[in-house]
Amino acid sequence: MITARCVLAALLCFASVDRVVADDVVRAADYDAYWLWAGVKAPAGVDKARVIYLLQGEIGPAADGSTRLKAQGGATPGPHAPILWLVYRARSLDWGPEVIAAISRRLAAWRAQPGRVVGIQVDFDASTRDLRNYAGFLRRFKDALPADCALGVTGLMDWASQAEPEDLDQISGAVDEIVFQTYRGHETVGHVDAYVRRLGRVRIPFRLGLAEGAAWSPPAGLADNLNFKGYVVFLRNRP
Amino acid sequence: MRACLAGVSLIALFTVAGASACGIGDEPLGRWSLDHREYHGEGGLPFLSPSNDSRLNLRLLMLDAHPLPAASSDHAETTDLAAPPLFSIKQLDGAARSPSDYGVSFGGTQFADGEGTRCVSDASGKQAFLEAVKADAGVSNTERDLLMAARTTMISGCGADQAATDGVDSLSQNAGLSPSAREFTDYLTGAKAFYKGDFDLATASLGKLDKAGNPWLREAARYMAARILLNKAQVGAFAALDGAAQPKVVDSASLAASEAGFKNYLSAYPTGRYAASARGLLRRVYWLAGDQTRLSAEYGWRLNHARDPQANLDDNSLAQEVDTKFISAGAGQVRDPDLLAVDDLMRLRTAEPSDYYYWGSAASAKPVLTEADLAAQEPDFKTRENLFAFLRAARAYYADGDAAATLRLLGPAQPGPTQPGQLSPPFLAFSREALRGQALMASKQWPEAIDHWTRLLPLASERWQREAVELGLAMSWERAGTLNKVFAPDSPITSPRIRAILLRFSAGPILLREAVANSKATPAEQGLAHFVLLFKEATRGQYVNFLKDDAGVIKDIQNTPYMRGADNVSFAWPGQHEPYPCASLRGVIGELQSNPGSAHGKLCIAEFVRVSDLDNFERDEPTGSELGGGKSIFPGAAYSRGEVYKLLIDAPSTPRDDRAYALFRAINCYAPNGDNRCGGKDVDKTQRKAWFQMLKAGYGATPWAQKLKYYW
Repeated sequence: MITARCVLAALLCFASVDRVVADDVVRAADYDAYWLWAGVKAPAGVDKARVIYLLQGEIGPAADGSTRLKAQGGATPGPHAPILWLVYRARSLDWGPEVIAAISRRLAAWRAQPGRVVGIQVDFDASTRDLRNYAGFLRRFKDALPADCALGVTGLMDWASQAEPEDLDQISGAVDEIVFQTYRGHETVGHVDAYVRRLGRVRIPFRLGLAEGAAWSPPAGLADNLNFKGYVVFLRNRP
Repeated sequence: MRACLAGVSLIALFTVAGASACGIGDEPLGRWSLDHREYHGEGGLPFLSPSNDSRLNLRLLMLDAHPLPAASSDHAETTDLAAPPLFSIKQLDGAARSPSDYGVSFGGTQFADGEGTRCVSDASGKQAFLEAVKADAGVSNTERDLLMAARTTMISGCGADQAATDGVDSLSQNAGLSPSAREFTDYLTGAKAFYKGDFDLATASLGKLDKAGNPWLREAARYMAARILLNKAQVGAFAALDGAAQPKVVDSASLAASEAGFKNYLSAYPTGRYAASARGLLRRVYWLAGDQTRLSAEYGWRLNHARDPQANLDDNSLAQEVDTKFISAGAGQVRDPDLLAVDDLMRLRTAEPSDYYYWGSAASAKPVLTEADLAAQEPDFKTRENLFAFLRAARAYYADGDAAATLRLLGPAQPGPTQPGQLSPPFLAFSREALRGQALMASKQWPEAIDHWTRLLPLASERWQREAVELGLAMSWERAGTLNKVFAPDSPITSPRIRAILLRFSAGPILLREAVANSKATPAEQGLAHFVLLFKEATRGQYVNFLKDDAGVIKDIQNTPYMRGADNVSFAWPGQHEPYPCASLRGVIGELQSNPGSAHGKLCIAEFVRVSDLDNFERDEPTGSELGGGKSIFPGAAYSRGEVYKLLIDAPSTPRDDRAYALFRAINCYAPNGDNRCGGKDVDKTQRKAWFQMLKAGYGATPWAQKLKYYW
């Protein structure tokens, strides 16, 4: 692959981009768990994945200002080989009983099909300052879900570095898994090693979310963190 | 699109400021520029721009066709001091319309809106059925009770059906029903079969009702006939796990029959109860059939008919649907001018760095828009010449970087300098005039740019526009060397965010002092000016002035944009004994005033900056293309402890103890993980090691050498 690498290097120079070499980018085929977001076409072989985090909808203000759940994503409940997490993107936490009912029914519809559905993942922009409120919301939401339904969240890495320890514990106590995002836009954030080191403060199982195509090399010591359970790759569309 | 990452990833965009925690200046400023070329995620500009998410550009175009209700106040929306970007797609989301703003209403159910499940109509269907039964004079009281009970207990598979049986089957076997009740019973049998997925039985049952006596039954059955066929055609079409629905319809006969059915319904009931739903489902038929031409025509119709009784989607949802079902599906046969414009703008984007890393080329999703590409589209814009003219000018600006051609293609300003008038249509015309301002600025025609933005200000009356014009004007004044105009008593620049950025990064001592004394300014702005003035005087050698200007308490700084935490900083710093002895800040300044080269004085200024958590105050300065990115009027370079320590370590005149402390601090800049927290140019690990060895070998008796166990 010398040739391809040289071409890429030339392009990198041309574009004045020099942060990584080609080998350090996240390639979907090297991983086994993925987010499939609305609008992203599944690559070939996605049914061979071990875990899929499948976006199901977005909760936010509707045309009349009330908080509504809008269905998103491209699959209807059916038999599936990969283990599924059903993902809901939240723009607000002002969920009425209708929203929770709709999520529960969708979960039941998926669970009526062959294949395992672990639980629900909530994706919400909780600032570090609002973590405690968010934890309260998550506890109430988990109570509304079936007992055998896991609850996960996406997390910001600055939770681990900036949150008060008790707030971080509150979140950790409310969910079964956190997937911390290492990227912003399509790029891995700067100083990611420093962030990852601070994840030692997290006391429950967590994964790291990587953006397909972004620069990534595993920070030293990550593998020693007993709570680190692996990666989830956010898939992108091919141009 | 390129909306694909917007969901998860942008969470981190504005909250992750840097690796260090909670210093002043950690809050990102965002990109304060009108000239964005790379995809900008959820942040964006309130006018048509290649950097905007395609949904944002589409929604700006939609606002011209379907204006928002008048806003009560523009400025209420722009004073969020913590919000870094000029504009965000969330502000559009937040501009909720009332349901009466559309031709139809949107009801809530216990199912997701949109394409979740056909069960979404179970509740409203039940309600309509019950009302129709109650209103039908041909149904006896007993029959009415039976029918209503049957519908209420109907086992549809949609809800939490607990009963083992419902009344539907027994009613259908009841031979003694009146003709009216028989028709309602057939409807129930069909509806139940539909929700349970037995589409053939549903068709057979509802097919009997085309000539039913009850008008609601006739209408509903005709609509349902097409909907049943559509659901039948979709069976198995979305079997694969996917993020973007890529339907594979096998039963194209049912799909074609469904299309005919919806058209049949719409021609019989053009403003009927289900007209909006039928028209929307017709769009779904085209999508399922892969018919991009008719799909885009349908979108084009809806974009311009938001209030039509057949318009079935709110604008936000429509923009999302166009994005996922059309634009990102590789829109082939676009003829609709709005959709073409959105697509063209995407083709004027600069690729992102990760495109190079991963795809091995600058391949943005689409090839760059050439002049010939655009010329070939001209016939499609014959009803929208002003949109086409804007695109030609935008192409010259973004693709060719040719400001002169941009200005030529834009023609004269509309309305002209001496004409009364308004921007029409408001968002397209605003986009055109913003581009004119950008081109004037890019060609450094400052007087013309200032004149242009000044005239545009009163015309920019729609929501979100004013701050963008203020940005253009303020930046033109900054670059023209007349920054003081921004802070003149009659200045039109009212945005606290714009004023704060300029005070912090651009203003010189005279302007800052005037701002401190400006009784018309907000206390927060006076406080910020005072803070910046004292910080820069202390760190740039203006010791006499510091002592003169350091009077009184700094006002209200916590209410200043991007200055969270600064209210804990006191320029009345009392000094310290440990780890390195310093007098009060005023004492230190006095020491430096009599001996500007004092290593001890310089280290104490650095101590003040360190303990006050001010290392980031001058980090992340705006770039040359952003507001505040021109040459700072304040004399001297941005301060960093990192550079101060390096100078003191290297200077032969530095006293031994002071050099030892400078070494100790310089090494500690990289604790605990190798990131430089002190600013200045980073040094590599070999230099850090050399400092460590120098400290240990040359100054081993100092408390700092004894305290330091590692370098990082």
